[in-house]
Amino acid sequence: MEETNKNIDNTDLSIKVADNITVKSSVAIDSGSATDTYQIDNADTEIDYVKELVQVKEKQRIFEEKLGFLTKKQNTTDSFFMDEIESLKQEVLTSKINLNKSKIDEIQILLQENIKTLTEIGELEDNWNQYGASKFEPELILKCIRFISEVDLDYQPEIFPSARQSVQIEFEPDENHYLEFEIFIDRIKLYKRIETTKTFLENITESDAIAEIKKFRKEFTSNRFGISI
Amino acid sequence: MQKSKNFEKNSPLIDSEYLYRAVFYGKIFWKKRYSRPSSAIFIDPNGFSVERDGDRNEDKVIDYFVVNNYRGYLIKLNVGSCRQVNAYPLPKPSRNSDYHSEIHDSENQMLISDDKREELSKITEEVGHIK
Repeated sequence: MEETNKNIDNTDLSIKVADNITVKSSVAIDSGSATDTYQIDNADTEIDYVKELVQVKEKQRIFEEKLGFLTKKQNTTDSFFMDEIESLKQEVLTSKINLNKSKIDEIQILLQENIKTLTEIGELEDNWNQYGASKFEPELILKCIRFISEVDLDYQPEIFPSARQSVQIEFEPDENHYLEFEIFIDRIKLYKRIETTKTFLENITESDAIAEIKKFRKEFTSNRFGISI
Repeated sequence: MQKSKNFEKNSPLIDSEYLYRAVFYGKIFWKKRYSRPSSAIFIDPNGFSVERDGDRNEDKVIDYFVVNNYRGYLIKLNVGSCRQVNAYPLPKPSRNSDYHSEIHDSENQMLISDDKREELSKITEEVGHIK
C-alpha cells in the first residue's frame, strides 16, 4: 500500500489510508462543526471496507474532537496550538500505517489459507470425489500457488478442485460480479459475469489472467464508486 | 435396493423430482459467504452423476448413500429448476442403481458450460451430512 495523498493543515485532513480509500475530514473553526467524506476507489469486499472505515472514522473523530476543543481554547497563531496540530497529524498518520499493515496482514493470512487449500487439493487421491475423479498433478498445484502468490495480486480468490484435473479459482464480491478461472497445466480458461453480461475466454496466459483480475476489480469498483458510510 | 412401488426404471424425470449427490470434500467446495457450493462441483466431462428420488422419500435416498459408503455432504437439485437454467437432466440407470441419473449441458454435450454451472450452484440445496 502506498501513500499517494496527504495534506493536513489546521482544519482539514485529507488522507489516503490505503490504495483504495481516501478519507477527508474538515472542521469549521467558526461553527465547530465537523464533516467527513469517505471515498472508496476500489473495494474487494464491502464488509472488509466497512470494518476498515469504522476504524478510520474513530481515529478521525478523535482528531476532530481535539481540534474542535483547541479552536475554542486557543488562538490559531498560538504555537501551542500548532504543536498540538502537528502531534495530532502524527497520530493520524500512525493510525493510517497501522491500518495499512492490518490490510497487508489480512491478505497474507488469506494467501496462506489458499496455499493450504491447494496443498490439500494436491494430496487428494484418485477417486477423491467418490465419482471417479483423478488426483492432481503437482505441476498444476505449483502453477496455482505461483498464480495466487503474484506480487500484484492483493485480492485473494476462493479455490476449488474439479473432476477434470483442473483447479477453479473464483472471485465473487457480490451476486452481480463473478470471475472464474479454470486452471489446467497447459492453459487457463476464463468465465466472467457482470450482472447479465457474460464473457468466455478459452485459452489465456497467466499475465492475461492477472490483468483480467485487475480489470474486474475496476469494473466492480466503478459500480460502487462514491459509496458513503 | 428398496424401490418405490410406483417407480419404473428409466422413466422420464419429472419436474417435481429431486436429484441427489454426495459431495465428499464438502468443506473444500463450500462458499461460506453465500452458503452454497462452488460451481466447480459440476465440472465433469462424463456428465454430473446424481441419484434421482424416483418417488422415494428423502430418508430412503439418504439410506442409499449411507449403505453405499458415500461420505461428506448430501446436496440436492430440483429437476424443474435444472431445466429452468437450461441444464439437461436425464435418467441413466447403472449397474449399481436403477435411480442413477446425470445432468448434462444439453442433449448433445455432457460437460456443463460455465454459466450453467454457476446457475446450478445457486439452485443447489444442502440436505445434510452423511454419517
